[in-house]
Amino acid sequence: MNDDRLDEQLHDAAQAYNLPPEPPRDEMWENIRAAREARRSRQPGAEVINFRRRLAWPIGLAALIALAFGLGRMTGPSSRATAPIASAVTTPRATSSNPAAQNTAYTVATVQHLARADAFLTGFRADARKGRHDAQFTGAARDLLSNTRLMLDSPDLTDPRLRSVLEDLELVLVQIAQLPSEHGGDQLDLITDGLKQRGFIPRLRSAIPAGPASYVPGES
Amino acid sequence: MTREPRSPVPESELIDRVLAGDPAAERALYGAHVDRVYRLAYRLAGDPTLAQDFTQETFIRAFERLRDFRGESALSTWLSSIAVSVAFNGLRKVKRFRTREMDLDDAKSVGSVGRRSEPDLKVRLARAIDDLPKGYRTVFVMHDVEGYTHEEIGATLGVEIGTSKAQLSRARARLREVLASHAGEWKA
Repeated sequence: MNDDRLDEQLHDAAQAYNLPPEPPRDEMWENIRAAREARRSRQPGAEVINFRRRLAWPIGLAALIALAFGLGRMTGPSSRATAPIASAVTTPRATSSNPAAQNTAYTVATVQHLARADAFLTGFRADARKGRHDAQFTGAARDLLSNTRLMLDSPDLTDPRLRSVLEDLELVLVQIAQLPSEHGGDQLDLITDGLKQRGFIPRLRSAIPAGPASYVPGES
Repeated sequence: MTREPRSPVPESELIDRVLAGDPAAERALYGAHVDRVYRLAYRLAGDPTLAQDFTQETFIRAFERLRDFRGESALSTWLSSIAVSVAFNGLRKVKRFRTREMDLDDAKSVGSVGRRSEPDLKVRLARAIDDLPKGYRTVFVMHDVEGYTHEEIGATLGVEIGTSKAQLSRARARLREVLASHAGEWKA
């Protein structure tokens, strides 16, 4: 077979590569609108700048916490990826008497937690759609769930919108954590349909500010 | 919603109206570009949920940053560059999360659909495209699958046109090998 013929075949066969279906235009538009609306109501322009400025020095603090925590992971018996979040929530209370620093450390830890939850739910939905349900998903959901509950219980949680996102996240994680390892197809559909209908993932993302605060240890 | 016709309003005017806060203009701009963005996202992700997420995130970011759009490239190219960046980050995040949290054997399956066993040419080619290095795969998908020009690819990925051409050529060479071996097996 000569190169021209191969190229022709290659071109034809390549058209079938990840062939896109009809885009869900209306659904995506509704999600975009809802997410933008949520961001707008949460972050008026000036406040975003102030928020980031306020975060500039505490990011250093958060990085220290993450580093201390990373060292702990390397030396300690547990290697659960979500453990740092719990440490970040509890450590400032024990070591700092400055309420502003406590609150900022809480905010940074929450942002990291939400970013991790976003990655988890995105992966979970993609696998669920292919009919794949791994028992390890339920383990990861349990870890995220315990951190979510720690955050909900914290006195530093004063933002009602963040509380609402965390409460919804808790519900979703409870459902995933309780999925049976076999024959969970219907429940899997219920969870993914619920996520979709409530537009939860865009809402979760709108609670994660852009910029350095969304740094997640171990991810770049 | 059916596929929307291109807006009769010139794009620069549409952008001005979006910046002025006109929701109808936002919708028109979205309608004019959503298919192209979704197609690219889907080709890169190979998954409807991820493609939907990436498309949504692309437009959310685009509307947030529209003020920074200087018109040095076409709006469609600017949107494509956001889409590629969102898709790369999203795929990396999902892959890392799965690798770290789930210890899955086949983390490479992000961006591909279960196609490990069938002997069909298209399936084999799809596997070979999945396995290309990221740069080769992106250029191949954009040029040979989605019909972008090298100029558009260069502007979208921030690389020289020559780089785009070279990567395409290398991608094709690798894929030709797959095709040739497939043809050989058939003859045998």
